[in-house]
Amino acid sequence: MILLGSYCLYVALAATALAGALAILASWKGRADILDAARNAVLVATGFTTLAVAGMVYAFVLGDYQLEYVWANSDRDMPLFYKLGALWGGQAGSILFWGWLASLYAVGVVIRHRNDETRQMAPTYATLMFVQGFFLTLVCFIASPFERANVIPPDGRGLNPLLQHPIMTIHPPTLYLGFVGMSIPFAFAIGALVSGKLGDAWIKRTRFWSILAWLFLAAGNILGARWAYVELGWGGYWAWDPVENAAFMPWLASTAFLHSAMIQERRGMFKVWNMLLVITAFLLTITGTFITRSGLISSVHTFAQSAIGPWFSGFLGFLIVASIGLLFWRRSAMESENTLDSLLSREAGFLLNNLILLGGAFTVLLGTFFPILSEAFRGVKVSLGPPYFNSIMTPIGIALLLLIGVGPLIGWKRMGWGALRRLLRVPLVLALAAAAILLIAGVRHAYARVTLAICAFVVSTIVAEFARGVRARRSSSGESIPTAIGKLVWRAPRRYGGYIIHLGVVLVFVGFAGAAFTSEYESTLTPGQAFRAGGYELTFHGLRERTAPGVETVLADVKISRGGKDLAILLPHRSWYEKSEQLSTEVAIYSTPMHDLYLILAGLDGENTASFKVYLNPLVSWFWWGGIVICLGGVLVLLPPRQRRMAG
Amino acid sequence: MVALTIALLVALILVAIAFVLLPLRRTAAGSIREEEHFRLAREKEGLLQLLRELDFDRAVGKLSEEEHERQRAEVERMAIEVMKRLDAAGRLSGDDPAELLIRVERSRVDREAGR
Repeated sequence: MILLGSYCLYVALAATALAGALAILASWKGRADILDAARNAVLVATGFTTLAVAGMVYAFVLGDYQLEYVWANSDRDMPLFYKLGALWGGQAGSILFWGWLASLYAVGVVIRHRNDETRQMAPTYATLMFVQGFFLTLVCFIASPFERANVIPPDGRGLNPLLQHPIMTIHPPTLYLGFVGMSIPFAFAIGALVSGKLGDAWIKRTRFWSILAWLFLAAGNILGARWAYVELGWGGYWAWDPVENAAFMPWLASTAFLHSAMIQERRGMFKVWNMLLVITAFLLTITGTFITRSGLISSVHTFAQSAIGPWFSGFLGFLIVASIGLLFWRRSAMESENTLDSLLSREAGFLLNNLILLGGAFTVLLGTFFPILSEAFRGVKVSLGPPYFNSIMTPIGIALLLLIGVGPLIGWKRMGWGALRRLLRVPLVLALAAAAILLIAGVRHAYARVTLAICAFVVSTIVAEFARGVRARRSSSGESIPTAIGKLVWRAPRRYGGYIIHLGVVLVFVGFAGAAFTSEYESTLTPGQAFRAGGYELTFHGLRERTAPGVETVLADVKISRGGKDLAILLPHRSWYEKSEQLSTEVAIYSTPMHDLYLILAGLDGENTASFKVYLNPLVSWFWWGGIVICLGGVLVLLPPRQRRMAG
Repeated sequence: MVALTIALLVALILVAIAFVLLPLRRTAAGSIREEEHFRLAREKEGLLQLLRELDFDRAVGKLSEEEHERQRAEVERMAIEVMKRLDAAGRLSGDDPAELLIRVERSRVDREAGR
């Protein structure tokens, strides 16, 4: 099975090249039969790539440590759960995984677009196969996971302890699904540019794929933040690390595209802009993979590094030149069908939203690559830390939040100021009331107060949007309020799913605002001693030891109480992984809606003395709930509109 | 073991080649006319969606009656143009309430114009 898997990789690459060549021929000749052959070759390539992945998984399960990749990323004692996750735990496996996901997406395109036009689809498949072929070439010739050592080691070295966490079995695949998923809209954009079919058809075809990729990116970012929070043990969930930024930038660009695409669909405007956004979003995913894999920029998340950096930079460079060249070639065929009627219109609102989102993406890109730029221009590697990112991204975030509140109130084409004033009256009063209450409550941090007040404003505009829709339905059909809400969402999932996403974003911003009030405590204790952190009392009961195959763990037993009432026993611990010879610190968290008590076993002094670090993080759970709401809204937006569901 | 694996692989490759070549036995299908229909159908869908948005915006008070009428007339005119071209090719589906309304409107305009 393992041997078959390794051979299948080469057949998969050949089938990918064949599919690409057939697609190019179909595009040139305009023949649907050749395109069908290309589609079949896509399915064949996926089949063989799947066999290769199956071979690799089998090697992990079997413990074939002669395979260097299996030896470096697993050991006999690891649970099956983590052995499966080890597939993407290292360099070669993660690239194989990338290629496999790309092939699965290509099958999705074959199924969903089997009846679409030859001229548009043929270059789309050619582009998809080019991207897929790049990753398969890397695993065939540059970084193969099937590389065998001359000796057969009795056991593996084990997976990096930081990656041995349940979230790590779902976070990378989710993020990769987002990264790889962005290649589909990109391929459709290139297909449109090559075929010259530059109307809104390609935008509509990509809608499902763009939202799907966006949703996976959102979920991947949230899961990554959660992993950083519970596993890295520095008290926070986002540190503007290059790898975090790598996943965040394409999300910003794809968010801009999802909004801007609506303008082209409805008004035939922003055609060049949309092309640019799709290309940018995909190039940022490749940049992200490049950052993660090349080791060019140091990151706490960079688990896999090798010499594939130059290949990625070459690939990235080619994609930039080819796509921008195509865009320039077709620029005259992409003139806008309409003009901006008014600055007070949905179109203008979306444009402003785009500019803010892209401004954010550019800020993050600049900050991420600054060490390389500074070294190139001044010979000194200077890293820009959280102060740079926070000082620019905080006002950008607040502006975006404000726009989330105002934007949906504005109608298409043109709206009167009077109508807007009327719609804004109640939300503005509520926002001012919230600001006043926060001031009275002693919230002095300006950004946090402004953010929370705007959150109140946005929630009231969302509630008002739902209320207006419900009222309109009830006045015409007399439905009950729950029925009207249900039908409202069901009949226009895109609109109301979007509002639910906005609500999720508000919750996330409440979580951000809470970060302004984080407090930190430290203490060294012997058993029986206690110390106070915020309103909590932490009593240290002593240390315990736990032994599992290959892992020695020391746990600190800490009782948490507040106002004399016992709340929980927390067990922060430190584990020593024998095979990889690595120490891992695991935090313990007591979470409430108002704040998290984040407890770290910072050190062990002698037999029974332990040092602790505590962070009291206000409103963190709002961030996680916001992430869940965003994803739920994203799933709703994926649903086709009612008319198409009925027709389908 | 290696020989068996290679034999299995060769068999798989042969099946795969046959599968890829299968569609080439058929004659070419699809035409420029078909693609034009795709384009028009999507254009129609977009315009009908815009009409629904305009009606919704009026219902929730984002557009005045006057502004709604003006914008709706403009979009209707564009939709009628697209539907005329689709109709000429016998391609109207008639499964959408907004489309039916426009067809009625179109008949009225045609009647008034004495056609």
